[in-house]
Amino acid sequence: MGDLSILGKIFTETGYGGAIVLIALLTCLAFYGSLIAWIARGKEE
Amino acid sequence: MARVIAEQDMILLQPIMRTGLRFYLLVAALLAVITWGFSTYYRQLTEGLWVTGLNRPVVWGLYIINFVFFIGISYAGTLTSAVLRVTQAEWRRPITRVAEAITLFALLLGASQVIIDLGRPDRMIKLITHGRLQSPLLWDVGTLAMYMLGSLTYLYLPLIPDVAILRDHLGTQVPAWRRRLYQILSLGWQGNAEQRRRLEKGINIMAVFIIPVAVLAHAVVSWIFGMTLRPMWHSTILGPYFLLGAIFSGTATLVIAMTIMRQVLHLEAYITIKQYNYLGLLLLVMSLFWFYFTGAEYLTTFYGDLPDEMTVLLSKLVGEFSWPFWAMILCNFVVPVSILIWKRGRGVVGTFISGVAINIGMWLERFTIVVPTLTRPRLTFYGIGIYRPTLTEWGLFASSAAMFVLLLALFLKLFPAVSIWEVEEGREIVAAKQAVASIAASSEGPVR
Repeated sequence: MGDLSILGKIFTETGYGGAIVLIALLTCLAFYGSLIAWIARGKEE
Repeated sequence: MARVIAEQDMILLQPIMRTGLRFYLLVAALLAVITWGFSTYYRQLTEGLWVTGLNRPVVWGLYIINFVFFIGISYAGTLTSAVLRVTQAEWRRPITRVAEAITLFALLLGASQVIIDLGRPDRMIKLITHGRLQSPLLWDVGTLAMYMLGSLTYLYLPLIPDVAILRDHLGTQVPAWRRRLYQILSLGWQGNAEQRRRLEKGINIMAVFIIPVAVLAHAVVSWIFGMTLRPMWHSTILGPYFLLGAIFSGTATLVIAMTIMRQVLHLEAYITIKQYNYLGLLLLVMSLFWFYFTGAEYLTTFYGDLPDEMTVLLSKLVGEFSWPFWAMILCNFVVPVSILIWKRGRGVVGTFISGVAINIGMWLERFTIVVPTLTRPRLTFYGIGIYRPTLTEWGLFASSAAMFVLLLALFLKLFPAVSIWEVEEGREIVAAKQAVASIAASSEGPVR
């Protein structure tokens, strides 16, 4: 399996998958959090 | 400035202000069941998975059945709240809150089943540190976590104006910690135009966002099975079949929850025959679709006549798993269709009975998907597997169900069961439509 492309490595090697899932979850958290913060700032307008 | 609440809606605050003996008795009974569950879990943790009926080749049992079942019923909120909100179905307003709460709590309980099934919960971290992207198990962890966070946000956003009502109206009638909680959660809500605009926009964004996430989450649960080469799992129909089953059982759970809520909290003025009629129709359509999907899957397998597949199929149709299979057909198709096809059947009692039958039937469906296939593996050196759930597994099943009810009961003790501001908004829309209609009628004038 020494000739794997980068994409192949990302799919098959351990560690990459967990990191990608963590990044996706953190992105979601940031999105939800910013949405709530934006609504909270509505009282100042 | 205290937010105004209509006199008729004060009934929605009563269960939050007053706690009767019945509530404490319910909590005590649920805690007793949960304690039993924890004691069985402690035994499993200390002695290992041998205390369960799991074995080789039947490596999945009640825990995974319950996992799929709970994730399935979590669809209640997404369908009823998000889909009906996007399509602007007005009748959704009194039932969205409980639907969204069911979603979150069912997801929490569903996810906990996987951790229980692991035997060693500390190994959960290995999914992140050693997980490979090609594994559907990792997809599942990712999508379910995303779905859970989304459901929490989607439950919270429509709560904000109601929490502000609680903050402004309850005062010293509730303990200080609850006043503080309402203060924090209301985000300083005053109900001004800009706040309302942002809230509506935020809820709409989440409604559109949560639908594909929910579809993906349910599809991924099915792919845990479908991506293997096991007989009757490796099928392209499994994704849509799980999704349909999720809508089916989610709606049925919503019907059960809203009926109990309606009776106990006296919400007859809010949850009317209209909601039962529409949800009954939805259950009827879903029942027919479910029967079609089941028939399509079984007929295709039967005509293929592949030995491995036929062994599993026959075990369900006429073998040792025929009783759960035919009970499933009875509960998911015969009972709901015979009741809900009639307009009179789509009342409170008929829809409730159908909801209970469907939930039993959908649990049996998860059983007939998971267990028969595992007892008849392609690797013949295992022979025919046997699976008999032990008291440990039943104890954890009962405590999970009790935990689900407890979370729902505590939620309804802290927050209004019906979204007050959304119901009020619905009344304003009806009043505006009536005003427009009367103006139009008067401008036409009498015909001379």
